[in-house]
Amino acid sequence: MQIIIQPENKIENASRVKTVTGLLKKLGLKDTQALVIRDNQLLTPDRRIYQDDRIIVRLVASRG
Amino acid sequence: MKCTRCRETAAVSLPSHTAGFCSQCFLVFIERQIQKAIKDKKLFTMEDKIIIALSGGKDSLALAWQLKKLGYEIAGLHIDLAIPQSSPIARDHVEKFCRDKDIRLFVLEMDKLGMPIPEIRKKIKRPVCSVCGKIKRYYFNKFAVDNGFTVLATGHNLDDEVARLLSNVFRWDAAYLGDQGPLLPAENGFVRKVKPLYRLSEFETANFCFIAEIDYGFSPCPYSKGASFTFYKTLLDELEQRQPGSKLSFYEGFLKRGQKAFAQMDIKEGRALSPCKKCGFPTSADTCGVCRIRQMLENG
Repeated sequence: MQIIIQPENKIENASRVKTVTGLLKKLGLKDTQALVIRDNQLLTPDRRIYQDDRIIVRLVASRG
Repeated sequence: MKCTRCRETAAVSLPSHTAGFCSQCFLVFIERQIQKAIKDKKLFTMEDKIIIALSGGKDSLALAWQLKKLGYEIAGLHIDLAIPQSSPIARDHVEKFCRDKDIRLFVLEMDKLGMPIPEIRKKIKRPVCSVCGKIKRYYFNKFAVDNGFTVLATGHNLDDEVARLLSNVFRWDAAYLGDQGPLLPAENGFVRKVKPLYRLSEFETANFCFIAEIDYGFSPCPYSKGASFTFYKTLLDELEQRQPGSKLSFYEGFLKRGQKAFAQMDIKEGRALSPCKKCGFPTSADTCGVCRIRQMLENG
């Protein structure tokens, strides 16, 4: 599963992750610290994600 | 997860409201939260002439989008700080947004006003963030007063406000606690200042921008790394995760039960304001902070 972490557009790969909550946990994020986007759709923490997915994780905290 | 309103698949989960919303219902939720803030705190009316401080980030653009949609008389004011790594990107976003949404935009260029932030940063020993904030507040207020705007609106969200509250509480800073809130009335040369997004978290405004297709600037200020507010926000996120709703309840509790007491304390103990000897703007010293910075730059 390809993960694009914005705003830096850093690319990571994640395996053995089945839900949005699991993905955020793996990235060390809380549920409300990032938007999780697949195919231009927002995903809630309970949603299933799959190995073939391309996921955008957009951090929400503003700085400066 | 299903949408709390219409039972479609939810796009946004909000533990703090024990709710989830699909995209369309989330837009309704946001609009109602902003309307509630405006009404409950009497922030402004349809008769007011509102200038919105537009940084190019998600919060200020979201605010402008919503107030425009609600039919308020608004214009935008952007301050170009002349920071090479971030200012051009922020300005581009603001200009494009205002063009697309047909919002009148004013831009103040700190370079042309003799106050470029990178030059100031070289001359001062303390972190530039507080000086930059002071300069922005000064020019936003001055522009609003000089141009007949009755209200200055900023995109400060719940996370900004709670982080600031926690920081002020740690220092027991009565003056800052006394005037913290979503409404600062017009007085002593200051225009009325309002924060209509005070009930919304950064997570909520970020989701809102995504759904409303608001293209905001991601480019953070290169000088703000390690800012104390970022640390406070991390601490508060931990609290919110364990106790959803605690940020809003902490802030609303302060507004109901704490703010007035600190404001009274500041009237008794605080220093009176008088016009700055150089620019005439209100200050607690002979010369205001911005004029002192200008003097420092002129002295080399």
